[in-house]
Amino acid sequence: MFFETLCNPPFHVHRRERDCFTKTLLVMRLTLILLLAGCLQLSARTVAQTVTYSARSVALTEVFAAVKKQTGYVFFYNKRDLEGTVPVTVSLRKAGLEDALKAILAGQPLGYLIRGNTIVITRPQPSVAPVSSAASSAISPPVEIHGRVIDQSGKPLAGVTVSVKGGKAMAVTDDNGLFTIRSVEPDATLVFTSINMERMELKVNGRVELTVALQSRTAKLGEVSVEVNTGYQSLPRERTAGSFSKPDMTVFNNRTGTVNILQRLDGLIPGLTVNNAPGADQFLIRGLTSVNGQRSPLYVVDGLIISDITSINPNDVADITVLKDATAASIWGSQASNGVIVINTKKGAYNNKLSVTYDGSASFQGKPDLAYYHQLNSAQFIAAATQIFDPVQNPYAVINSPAGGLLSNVGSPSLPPHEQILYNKYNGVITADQASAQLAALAGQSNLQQMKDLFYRDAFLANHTLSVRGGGPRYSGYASFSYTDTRNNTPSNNNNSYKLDIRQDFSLSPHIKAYLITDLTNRVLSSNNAASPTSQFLPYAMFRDANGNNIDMSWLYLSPTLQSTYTGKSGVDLSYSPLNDAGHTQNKTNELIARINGGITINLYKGLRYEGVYGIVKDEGKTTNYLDAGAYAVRSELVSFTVASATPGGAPTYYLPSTGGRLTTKNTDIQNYTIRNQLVYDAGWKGGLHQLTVLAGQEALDQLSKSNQSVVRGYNPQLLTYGSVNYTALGAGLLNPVKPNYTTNESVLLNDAYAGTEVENRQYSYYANGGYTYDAKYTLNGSWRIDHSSLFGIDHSAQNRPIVSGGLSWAIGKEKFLTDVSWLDQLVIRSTYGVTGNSPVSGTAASFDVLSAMTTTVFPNGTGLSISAPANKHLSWESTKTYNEGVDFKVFGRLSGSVDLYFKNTDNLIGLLPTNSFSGYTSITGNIGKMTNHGIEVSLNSVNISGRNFSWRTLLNFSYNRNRITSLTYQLPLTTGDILVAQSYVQGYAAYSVFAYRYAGLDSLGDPQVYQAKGGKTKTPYATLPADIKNMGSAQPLFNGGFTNVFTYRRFSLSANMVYSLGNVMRRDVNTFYTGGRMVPSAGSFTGNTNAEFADRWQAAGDEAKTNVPSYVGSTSLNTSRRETAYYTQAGINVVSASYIKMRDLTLSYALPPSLLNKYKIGNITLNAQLSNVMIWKANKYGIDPEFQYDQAFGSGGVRTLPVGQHALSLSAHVNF
Amino acid sequence: MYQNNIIIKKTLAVAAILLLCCGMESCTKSYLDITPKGKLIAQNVSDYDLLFDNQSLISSGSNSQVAMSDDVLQLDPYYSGAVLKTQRLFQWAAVIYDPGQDATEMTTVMTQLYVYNKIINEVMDAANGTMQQKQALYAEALANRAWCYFTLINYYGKPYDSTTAKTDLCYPIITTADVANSSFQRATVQQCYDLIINDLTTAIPSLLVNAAVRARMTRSAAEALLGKVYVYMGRYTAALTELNAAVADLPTTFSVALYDLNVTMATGGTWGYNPVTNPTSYQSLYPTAWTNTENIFCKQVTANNWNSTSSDLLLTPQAASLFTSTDQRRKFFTSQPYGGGTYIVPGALRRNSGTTLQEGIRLADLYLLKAECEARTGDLTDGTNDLVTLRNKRMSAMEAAVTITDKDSLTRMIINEREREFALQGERWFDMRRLYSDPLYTGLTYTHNYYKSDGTVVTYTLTPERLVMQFPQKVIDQNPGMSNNP
Repeated sequence: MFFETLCNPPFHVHRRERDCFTKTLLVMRLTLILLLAGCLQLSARTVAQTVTYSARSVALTEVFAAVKKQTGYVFFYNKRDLEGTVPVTVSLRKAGLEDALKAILAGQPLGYLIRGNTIVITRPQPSVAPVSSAASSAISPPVEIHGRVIDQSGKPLAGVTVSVKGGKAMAVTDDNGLFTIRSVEPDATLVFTSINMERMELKVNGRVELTVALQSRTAKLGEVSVEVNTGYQSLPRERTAGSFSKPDMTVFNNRTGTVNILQRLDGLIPGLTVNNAPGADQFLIRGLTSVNGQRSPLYVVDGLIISDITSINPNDVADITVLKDATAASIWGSQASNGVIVINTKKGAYNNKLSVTYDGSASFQGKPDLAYYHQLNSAQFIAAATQIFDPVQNPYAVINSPAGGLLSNVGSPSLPPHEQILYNKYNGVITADQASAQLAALAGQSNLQQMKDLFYRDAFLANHTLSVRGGGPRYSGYASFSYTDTRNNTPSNNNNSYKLDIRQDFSLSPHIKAYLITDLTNRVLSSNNAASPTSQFLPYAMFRDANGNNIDMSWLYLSPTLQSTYTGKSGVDLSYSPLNDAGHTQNKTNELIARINGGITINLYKGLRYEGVYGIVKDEGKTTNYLDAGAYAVRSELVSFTVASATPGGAPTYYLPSTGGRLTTKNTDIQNYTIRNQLVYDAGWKGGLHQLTVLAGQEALDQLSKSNQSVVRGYNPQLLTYGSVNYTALGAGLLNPVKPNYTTNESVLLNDAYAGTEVENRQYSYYANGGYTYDAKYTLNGSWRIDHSSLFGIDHSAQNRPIVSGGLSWAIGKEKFLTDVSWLDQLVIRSTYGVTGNSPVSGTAASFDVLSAMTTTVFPNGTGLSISAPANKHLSWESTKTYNEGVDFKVFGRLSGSVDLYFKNTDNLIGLLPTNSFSGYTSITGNIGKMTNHGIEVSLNSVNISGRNFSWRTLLNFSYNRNRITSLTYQLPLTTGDILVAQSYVQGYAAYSVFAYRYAGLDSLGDPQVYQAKGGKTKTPYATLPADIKNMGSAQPLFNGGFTNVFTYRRFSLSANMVYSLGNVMRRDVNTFYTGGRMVPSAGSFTGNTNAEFADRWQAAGDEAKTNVPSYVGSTSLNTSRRETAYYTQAGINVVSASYIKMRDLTLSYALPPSLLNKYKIGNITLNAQLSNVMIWKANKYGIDPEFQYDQAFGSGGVRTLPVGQHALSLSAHVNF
Repeated sequence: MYQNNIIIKKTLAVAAILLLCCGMESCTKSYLDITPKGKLIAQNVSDYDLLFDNQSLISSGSNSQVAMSDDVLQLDPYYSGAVLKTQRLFQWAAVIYDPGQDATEMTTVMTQLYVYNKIINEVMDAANGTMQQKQALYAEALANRAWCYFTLINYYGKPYDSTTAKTDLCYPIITTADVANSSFQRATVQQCYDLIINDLTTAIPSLLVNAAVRARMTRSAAEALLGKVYVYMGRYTAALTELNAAVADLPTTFSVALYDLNVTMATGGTWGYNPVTNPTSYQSLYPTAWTNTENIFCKQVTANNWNSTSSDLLLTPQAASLFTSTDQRRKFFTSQPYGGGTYIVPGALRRNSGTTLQEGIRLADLYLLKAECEARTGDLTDGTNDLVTLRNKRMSAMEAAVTITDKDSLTRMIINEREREFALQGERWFDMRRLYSDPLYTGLTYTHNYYKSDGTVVTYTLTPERLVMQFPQKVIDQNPGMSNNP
C-alpha cells in the first residue's frame, strides 16, 4: 500500500531518516527543525477548513496536494485506484471540504470517506449478483479492504491487529486507527485483537470499507486500563509480571499543603516509607538496601534520571509509577536497588480542542509552638542557675579572658545577665539583697511572647498554575505557567518559584513522531540572617524593652569587661542585638533550571520502531551572602585582625579592610545529559494469541556538577569595590591581636578567597527487555542490562557484571475453570526474580592511589596533597536479588487490590573492609556484608456504596518490612556496651536498631546505674559489655501505609486520608545537663536553657526512690570519672514507641453545578478546603510528635525539632475552561 | 514506490540495529575515560613534592609512651574516668587492646609509611623534574621512612643489644605500598636498624640543608635522627659525629633557636603566662609545632585531655621535685585540677600547657644527646657546655651553672635534665628502655603508683618483657604464624 504524506516528498523523508541514524547529534538538531516545522504546520492547519482552488486539467494527485495544503487533511488511497482517472478541471471558492471533494471527484470512479483528519479515497466495487458462497470464492477475486478501528467513544485505536481468520494476511492499525489489508476473500472473517480491547470477529460480506468499534476489556470490568511506565517503555499492566504501584492521583492532587511530589505520595504507595523524622532516611522503598551508599530511590521524570525532584510542579504531573521488584526496576541496572519512582508529566492530545485549566492553592500553616521543647521556665531556670553557680570552678577572671572562650568555642565566652548578677554578688559588687531582687526580676519575665512576635510569622504556601492543552491532527501541546510562593516561619524570608513547562508532540508523518519538553524553573530566594530563638534560649532574656527599643545582647558573644577592653583597643563597636543584626545581612539566591527533553519515534518496519530520547538538565544557581560593615560578624572579625597601638591613645592597626562588608558569592552549575537509542519490536499474531514486545537499546549519561565560591572583604555594594587582604601573613598568624581567634595571643585567617569543586560521572549502558504474552493469560518477562561507569579509576573488569531479571504472570481468572465463579472478576498471579544494583560512590575505588588537594597553613602556598583513596581494584556494586510473589484481584465487582510478598537479599554491602594492618591502611572501601528485607504489601480499593447521589470508596495501603543485617564486618569491633549503644547497624539486627542500657535506677549519690548480664549493677564508666545492652527495636517503622475514605454526595466530596507508622521506637528527649556549673549559651547561639526534667533531678539522699533523673555534679572531672550519665540518657526507659496515626489530610470538595458554569462557558470549577496533619493517636505519653524527633550523637538522648505545617488549612480551586 | 518503501525501511532497520550493537562500542572507553577535577594520580615530580605537604604527616600517631613513662601517677577519683587503654598502659599490662582493635602505635605511622614507600618507589620515574629534584625527594622519603621505623621498633622491638639483635624479633620490613599485600614476616632488630641506618646514610647527602618549612625533613634533621639511632645502639662516638654534623647543618631558611623561658614564661611575658587564671584552667602558651623554633623537624600527637580538662595522668611528686626553684618549666604544670581544687596526692602536678605533645627532632634533644655522648666519651667540657646552653634558657643563670667533674655523674645529670625537659611528654619511656640495661643504672626498677581515695596505694612494677609492647590480637589474627612478643 501507499500512504502519501504529500507535504514531504517520500524521497526526502527517507534520506533524512537515514541521516538520523548516522549521527545522533544530527538527529537532535533535525528534531528541532522538524518540531519547528510542526509548529508552523499547526498554524496553517487552523487557518482554513474551506478550499479555494481553480485548475484546468491537472492530475488528481496534484489537486489532493493542494487540498491537503489548505486544510491539513491527509489523503489516503491506493495508487492502483487512481489508474484510469481523468485530469481534473475545477473552480472552488471557499467551498466546504465535502463540497470540494464532491466537485473534484465528480465523474471519477471514486468515492471518499472522511475519517478524522484523513480522507480515504475509495473505488466502489461493481455490485455483483448474489451467488452461492462456493461459486463466489471461485468467481470473486480477493479484494483489498480499507478500514478504521475506533473505541466506544469514537477515538481511533492504534496498534490493533487485524487478521484474516484462517488466513495469513494481517495488518496493524496506525495512529489514526486506519488499516489496509490485501488479498481478502469477500466472504472472509476479519479478527480484531488488541491487548486492551475485546477480541472481535467481523464477516467482510464483500465490503471493502469498514469502520469497527471495539469494546474496551477493562471497561467491561468497570475499570480504567492501567498503563505502567518504566521510564523506558509504557506497558499495559497485564503484560508485565513486575511489581508496580501507582498512587491515587485525586488524593495526590488535593494535597496542596506541600509542593513536594514525594511528600504527596505519603501513604499512597504500599512499600514506600516516608519517614519525616530529622536524620532519618526520608524516602525508602521496601526497606534499606545500603548502609553506606545511596539509599533513596532513583527518580525518573519523562524517561530521564533527575536528581532534584523538587523542580517538578505537582500540577504538571500526569502519572506516577513506582517500580519495586527486580522485573520492574532492573532495566535501570546498577542504580535501581532502592527502587525507582517514574513520573510522567502532562501532555496535550491530538485532535483535541484547546482547554485551559487553572489550579490555585493557598495553605495557611501558622506559627510553631515555641514551648514544644519542654524547657525550664524563667523561675525554674533562675533557681537552677543560682543553685549550680560555682565561681571557684569557673573563675570570673577566666570568663573575662580570651582563653576562657577558646576553651569551649573559638570566639569568646558569653556572660549572660543572670551570671553577671551572681558574680557581682560573689565579688561583693552588690549585696545579697540586691542580687536576689535582680534575680527575682529575671525570674518574673518570660521572652516567649516576644520571640513569637518578633522572630516568627505565619507560614504560608501558595501555588498558582495556569495550563493550556490541545492539539490538531499533527501537533499537540501542553503548556503551564506556575508560581509558587513559599513563606516559612521566618519574617523577611522569601522563596518564589516561577515555572514554565511546555510539552509539544509532533506527528511529523505516520512514521515519525517527536516530542519536545521545555521545562524552565526560576527560583528566587532572599533572606537575612534572622535568628529563630525558641524556649531553648535563656527564658528570661528579653529582646526589646518596654519602649520598643532593641536590647543590646552583646553578652551573647563577650563578657562586658572583654567587650569594653576590645572596643577600647580597636575602636570598633562590639554591641550586638539579634534584631538589629539581621538588618545588616542579606542572602540572595537565584537559580535557573532548564530541563529539556526531546524524543523521536520512527516506525521502521511492521512492528519495529526506533526511539531516541535526548535530554539535558542545566541548573545554574548564584547565591550571594552580604554582611555589611554593621554586621556583628564583620566587626568581630575586624577586631580579631586589629593590633592595638603600642602607645596609649594611638591609632590601632587594621589588618583587614576597616570599612565595607563581606561578600560571599557562590555559583553552582549542574549539567546532565542523556542520549538513548533503542529499538522496539511490538507485534501480535494469530489473532492476538501471541503478543511480543522486545526492546533493546544503548544509553550514555553524563553528570557534571561544578561550583565555585569567592569571598571579598571591605566590599562596597555601590561602587562594587573591595579591599585587599594579605592572606599569606594572616594565614601564618597575626600575633597579639586585640581579640585572638586561634590561640590566646594569635589570630589566623584561612585563605577563603576562592574555592571550587568539579565532579563529573559518566555511564554507558546496554540493555534489553522483552515480554511475551500468550492468549492474554500467560506472560513471560525478561530483562538484561550492563553498565559501564567512569567512577574514577574503577577496574573495568569489575564492571562487566550484567544485571538480569525474569518474571512470569498467569491470569488464572481467565482460565475456564474459574470463569464460572461469578464473584471473581479478575485474578492474576505474578512471580518474579532478578537482580538490581547500587553503584559505589565516586572515588571510593580506584586502580591507582587517588590524591586530593588539601588546604593547609603549615606548608608554603597553602596547599598540599594527600592520598584520599589507596589503590583498590576490587570493589563491586551492591547487588540486590529480589524474589517477588504477587496477586492482583477483583471480586464482587467492587473490591480490587493486590498483595505482594517479597524477599530481598542484598550482597556486597559497601563499607570499610579491614585490610592487613601492615598494609598501611586498616581498612579500605570494600564489600563488607549482607542484608535481607522481606515484607508484605497490600493495596485495597473498595467501592463500598455506589449510588446515584452518594458513593463511598475506601483505599487501604499497608506495608510491612522486616530488615535484618545478616553479616557485617566492623571497622570498630563491638567490644563494649558503649560502642554497641552508639550503633545503628549491627549484625543479626535490623538496620536503624536502637540499643540502650538496662536502667537500674539511681544510687545513693544520684548516679545512674545499669544492670549487667553477669548479674548486679554498675555505675562505673566503660564497664558495660555488649551482653549488657538491650535491643529496643528499630527506628524505622515496621508497618506503615495509608487509609483513605472518600465520600461523595452529589457535588460534594469528603476525603479523609490517614497515614500510620507503627512498630518503631525513638529516644525521647531527656535532660543532658549534669555538670560544668554554667547554664549559658555557647557564643552567639540561642541556647542555654535545659530540659524541664532538670527540676526533677536527684537532689538529696532518698530522692533515688522518687526520680530516675541523675544528680547534678558540678565538677566536670568528677562527673566523668565517678559515673556515666549516658547510662540514663541512653537507657531503655527513655526509648519509647514512635508509632502514630495522623490525619494527613481531610479534604472537602465542591464542584459547582454545570448549569451555573455553562453560561460562562466554563467546563468545571472545583473548590477544596483541606485540613492537614492532625495527630489522631500516638503511642508516647510525652507529647512527642515522632515526625519531628531525632536521635543525636551518643549521650544526648533524643532531640525535638519544632513541628511545622501541623494543623495547616489549605484552600484550593480547580477551574477548567 | 511501494516496493521501494519496503526496501528502504528494511535497510533502515538493519542500519539501526547495527548502530545500536556496535556503533558506539569503539568510543565507549574514551567516553568513560575522564579525569575528575580536584583529584589526581601522581605523575609529576611536583605531585610527589606536594605529597610531603600533608599536614597529617606531622602527626606522630601515638601517645602511649606517656602513660608508660615512670614520671606519671594515677589517682582517685580520676582513675576510673580514664579510658581502659590508659589504665592498661599505666599498669604495663601485656594486652592493651581488645580483640579486633587497632593499635594507635601502628595505624598513623603505617599510613605515613605507605606514602613514603610510594614516593620511594615511584619518584625516580616521575615526569617533569630534574634528577636533582627527584633525588632530593627520594632522599626525603627515605629519611622519613627511617623516622617511621625508628618509631615502630621502639614500641615493638627489644632495646638494641648487639649480642641478641640478630635474633630478637622486631617489625616486618615493608618497602612497597600495596593495600592488597597480606603476607608479612617479622624482621630482626638488627635488620630493622640496618634498614634505618641504610635509609638515613643514603638520604643524607641528597637531602636539602634548607627546606622551606620545619615540617619537611632537612639534612640536619636526618643527621640528628641518625645520631639518636646510634645513641640507642650504644654507639656514642658514631652518634657524636652525626650530632655535630646536625648542629653544623642547621637550616637557615627558618629560625631554629631555643626559647629563653626566663623571658617568654615570665608573668605577663610574651607567652601570656598568668599565675592567677592559668592554674585552674589550661594554657595554650606554647607555640604550635610548625612555628616552634625549637623544632628542627616537627612532629606532634594529641595529649588526649590529660593536659586540659582531665587529670588522668599526673606528674609524680618525685619527678616534680627535680625542678629547682627558678626552673621556668615548672610553670607548664599546676597543682590544681581543671576548674580548681586539690589532689589527694600532695605534690602531684597536672601538665596544663598545650594539648599536643611535640615529639619531632627537637633542638633541646639534640643538645642533650650531644652532651650525653660527649659525657659518655669523656669530653666533659663540651658536654657541660652543651648542657648549660640549654639550662641557661630554662632557669636563672645561677642555677643553670653545672660543676661536675665526674663523667658518670655528668651523664646522670644529663639524664635528669632530660626528665625535666620532657616531663610528662613520653620521651622518658624511650629513655627508660635504653637505660634498662645501661651499666650506669644497674638494679633499676620502674614502678607506677595508683593512689586510691581510701588512702591505699596500688603499685605496678615494670617487668623486662614489658619494655616491648605486644602486637594487638587483630594483627596476630591477620597474620597466621606470626609470633607475638611474650
